[in-house]
Amino acid sequence: MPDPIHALYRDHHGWLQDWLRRKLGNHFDAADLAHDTFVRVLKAPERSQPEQPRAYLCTIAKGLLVDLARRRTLERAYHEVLAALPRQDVPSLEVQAIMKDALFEMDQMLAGLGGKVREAFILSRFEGLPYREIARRMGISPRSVQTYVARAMEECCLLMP
Amino acid sequence: MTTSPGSPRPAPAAEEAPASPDQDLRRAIREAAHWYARLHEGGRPDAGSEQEWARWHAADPAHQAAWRKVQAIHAKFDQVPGRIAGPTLNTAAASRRATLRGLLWLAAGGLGGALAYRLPWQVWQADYHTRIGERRQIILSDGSSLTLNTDSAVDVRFDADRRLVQLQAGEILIATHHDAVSMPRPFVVATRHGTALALGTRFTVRLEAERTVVSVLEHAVELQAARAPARLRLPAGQRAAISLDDVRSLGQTSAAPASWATGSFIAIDLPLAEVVAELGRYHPGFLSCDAAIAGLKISGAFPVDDTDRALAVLAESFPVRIDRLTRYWITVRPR
Repeated sequence: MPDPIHALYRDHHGWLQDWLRRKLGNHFDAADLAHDTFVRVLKAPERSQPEQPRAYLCTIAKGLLVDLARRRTLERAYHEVLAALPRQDVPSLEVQAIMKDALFEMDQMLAGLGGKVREAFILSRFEGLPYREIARRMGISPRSVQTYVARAMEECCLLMP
Repeated sequence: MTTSPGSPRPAPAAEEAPASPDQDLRRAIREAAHWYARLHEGGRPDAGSEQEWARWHAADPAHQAAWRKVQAIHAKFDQVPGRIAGPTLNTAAASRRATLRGLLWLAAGGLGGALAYRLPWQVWQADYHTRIGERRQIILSDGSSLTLNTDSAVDVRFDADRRLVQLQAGEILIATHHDAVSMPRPFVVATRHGTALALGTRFTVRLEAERTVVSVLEHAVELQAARAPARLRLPAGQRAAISLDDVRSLGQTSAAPASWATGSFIAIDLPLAEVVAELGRYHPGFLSCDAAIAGLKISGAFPVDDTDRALAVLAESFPVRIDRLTRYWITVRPR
């Protein structure tokens, strides 16, 4: 019996890559994402042939497209922030790359949080502001700030594998 | 057998117990998160809290497991210095909101909360800023007038050598005033893309993601890109785009580039998608139009202080209807 994944690849890889190229307008990203889509399929726990293979592939590919867009936006923001740093504070290229991956992970974790929860957490964690000051800036009570920080931490813990 | 949504790992396939290990861990994580928040209030936590925490921590192996997770998250967020991580995460969030994909993400992140969080990091340090839908006129110390359009921010720095307005976000209208000091100082608007030097004049500067667009209403402005030495003298009635590497003329200005300063947006034969995008700048939420009618040509004057009224005008005069999912989430569809 031929491997169902192999059949899926043989029958739909070209189509998927075309579909992605139309979405992205870029051949290289399309090839990468098509590849990543099949990697996801390989890693999926269910290995049966899906009933609607193209819809199935599209669902996975769309998730990857969103991730890619997230990553690109983050990279742009990151480079802007680095560009604004005083020259002596700019980290080495190697450290920059490590930080970028870490930032992407953080960004993914914070993605699902509500705006205020996220804001309170970032002000506390990265600005190191006391709750009193965060409360003043956000126009809420210090008690709410504490609740928000707790909720952010709880959600991040639940997201962690 | 069911797995509770969002549970950290699949429930064991064995029979159900009243409190599964999963539920225990979830409860412990909630408690650990509360402890984290309590201990990080700012300043040193008091000795009483620490002792209380220690008792909690020792009481149950699930508490220790949960606390390890909290520490791991804390350490993860330590990998990048706060002064880089904070602005990066915030700028990324802010620019996402400017794109459709960003807005889809926004929906996932909670509409109300995310809206309260629209302004990028730098805006907090800006001297003047406006919220979405707000407009503000300021008379600067030299008598020049600065008007901020919706969702905009500037730093104003006047010193002995020059009058500098750094545009951080959004759009401004400048009407310069003759400098009263004995040695006149140049008046410059700078953005991350380049500079606009006023040559006795009225002009608008609008900061977009990849470029800065300058429209001149009176006299002239001299433009320069951040990374290129060439200058372009832009006369009245013309507009140009400054990107990091060059300055490019965009020909005649749009119908009335500063009409927003008096509360209206004037469209002459513009595609609906552009009109909707423009109105969206004044609307605190997501405003979009159906792709099927994106190219519909629109002409008219729309009030920018009241986007609901602007949309009503649109629906009266053109074959479109306004579809409101919530007050913040609005789509213009074919009628």
